[in-house]
Amino acid sequence: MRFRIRESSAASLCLAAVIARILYGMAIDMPEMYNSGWIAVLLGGVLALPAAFAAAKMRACSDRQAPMALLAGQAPALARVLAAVLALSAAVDAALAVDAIAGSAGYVALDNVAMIYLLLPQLALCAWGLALNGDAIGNSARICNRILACVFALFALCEAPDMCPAWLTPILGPGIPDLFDGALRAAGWLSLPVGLFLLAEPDEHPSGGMRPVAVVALGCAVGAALMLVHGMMLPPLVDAQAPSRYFLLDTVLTNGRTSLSLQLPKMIVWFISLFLRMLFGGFTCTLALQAALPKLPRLACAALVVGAVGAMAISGFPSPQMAAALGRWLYAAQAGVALAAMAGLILTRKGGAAHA
Amino acid sequence: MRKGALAACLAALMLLLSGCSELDQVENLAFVVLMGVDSTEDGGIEVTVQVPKIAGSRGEESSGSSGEMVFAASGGTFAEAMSALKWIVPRRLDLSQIELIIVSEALASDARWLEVMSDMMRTSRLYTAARLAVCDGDVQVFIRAEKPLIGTRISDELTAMFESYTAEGLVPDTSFADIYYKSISAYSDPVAVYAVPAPGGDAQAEAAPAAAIVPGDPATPEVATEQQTRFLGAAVFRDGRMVGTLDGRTLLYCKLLRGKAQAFAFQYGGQTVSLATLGAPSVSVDTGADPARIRVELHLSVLPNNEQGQYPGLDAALEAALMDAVEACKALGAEPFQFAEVAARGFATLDEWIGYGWRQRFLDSAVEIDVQLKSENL
Repeated sequence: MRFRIRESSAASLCLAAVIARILYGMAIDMPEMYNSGWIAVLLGGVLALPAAFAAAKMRACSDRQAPMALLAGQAPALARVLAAVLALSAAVDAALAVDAIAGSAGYVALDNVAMIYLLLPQLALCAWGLALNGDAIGNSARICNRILACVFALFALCEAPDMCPAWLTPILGPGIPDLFDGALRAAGWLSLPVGLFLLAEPDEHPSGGMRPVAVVALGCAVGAALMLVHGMMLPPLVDAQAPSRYFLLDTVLTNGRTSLSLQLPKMIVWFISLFLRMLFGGFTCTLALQAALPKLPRLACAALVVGAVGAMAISGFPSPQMAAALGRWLYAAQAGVALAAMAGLILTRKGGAAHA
Repeated sequence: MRKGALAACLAALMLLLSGCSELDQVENLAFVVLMGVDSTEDGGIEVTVQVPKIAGSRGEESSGSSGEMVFAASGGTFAEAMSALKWIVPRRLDLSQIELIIVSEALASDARWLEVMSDMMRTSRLYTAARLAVCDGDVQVFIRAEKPLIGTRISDELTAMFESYTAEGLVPDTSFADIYYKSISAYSDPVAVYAVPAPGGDAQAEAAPAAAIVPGDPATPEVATEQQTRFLGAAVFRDGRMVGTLDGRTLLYCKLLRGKAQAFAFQYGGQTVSLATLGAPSVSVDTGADPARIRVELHLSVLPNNEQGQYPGLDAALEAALMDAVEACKALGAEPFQFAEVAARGFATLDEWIGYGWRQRFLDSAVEIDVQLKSENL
């Protein structure tokens, strides 16, 4: 049985992963956005929407199969190259997620925990998720999304008295050039679902053709709302000199206000969302690898992905600095894949029509 | 196939449960409830912690008859002092349950305080949402004098006490992390709880009158209590160091200007008038003017428990009292009223806002306070 995920499951998984990516990316990887991260997320959403529209259009044109499968039938070489790009970017993102989980575990436990101990349970979870296949991961994400939304609403209610909307000003924070830089990276995170939507199979009962757009738009809205809440909980730390990841995690997970009783549920929400982000990266990578190398056996495919993610994570390659540096190119990679796939489909169809 | 799956599951369990090897029994942990930070004569840092006894320990040395132990250690930096403390405390230190962090006035007023705060923020599992109090005098003496009054959990007693004082407007409701974040931000200056030992209140004293809760505060009544420590008023910080204190009454006015919901009593014409805030004050800051103009419109209700009749001139008296609070803070060179948060709205970017030089603008500003009174009837 091959790896597969249906569109509805992919949508739930994408939503969870994108929101987790935005929160972690803006709050931990890019503290220089200060309290204007929400604007960068909204601008990023505007940039990511065309890629989502392209994915939606391709899904609408790909009757009863994944757009990448359709492209593989018409232009196999292009499909393989694009799938390889998707696999690489997803593997890097999964490794970054693994590093984020390890960093968070280190923050919570903060003892001399070797990376290998932090890594093995994650890789075991990733392998287990892959063994269960995409729909199981997507459906679990759907359940988690609903629970996490309720828990988050509880946090917001409990912490609302401490929020200070005035800390969102000056509204443009670090300035327009920095905001555009942040928007570019946010667009990369928001366009991550495009890859999975190119690889996902249609539902038995398709519900409209705009699901990729809805996921990106909703992810953008929720991500921006989370950044707004984060901004109201913490003044811009303009004199913080090279804040460590430990310090930044503290600003997100306790920020000097969260009571002890709320910290445990907050940690649970945080870790579940990071695990879903890792599973999203791992599964997208597996699916893309399967599309790039169709003859690769399922077990080898899963082992290759888990091994590659583990190797990248343990090599020290993923770090907040690396995440920030790669963030600039992620949007180009994802949007480029969507554009190339669309161009490939159009050209092969035109060629086919002219030939006929 | 099934055997293989079982073996894989067992192997996975082995890996997943390996975290249990780091298991800590509660009995082996020393839960710190109070932490004190002080400077030493040789320029080092002294850390004092109060740890409640989890069970009756007959053989163990205790600082007093009640169930707590006090340990102290010093080092060149906060991190070194903490390392030394770990040697001294016979259990594993757990800082995640800290209720109150107390720093000496000497250290809080020192330029090193911001660096010490940064070190504390980096300390693993130190509960940064704990309250911060600045203590007049020796921190270790203060902590030894701090006794639980009720129940077995001192943290509950401290929480209840601070909630009560905060509701009365006598202490600020700020955490350690709040102070630190505001110290490295670009808005209003932070305030912390100010604490003093009772006059003549050493560890052996049983009942001493609290003659002066905050030195020089005429509004503080004389009371008799077994408490040997006092938490009242506020320590004001600027640029990461303490620059002065506000007595309980000035802090109350400061909180009114900050928009805190508050009911309070005001002495006017030989009478005590009960008042309460009616919503947040309307604050406007004209940053285009030179000097900057700050206007505050504060709505207060005269509560129904007052004697019937009008209080002519009460609004002017309140305005004068509030202006005195503003002038007191200006004299300290600090702005704890959150006017900065309002003023920052007029700027597009943080660079522009920082370039404006808010603090000096505030010190030179023209402040206008307008109190509107409304009588409440049942």
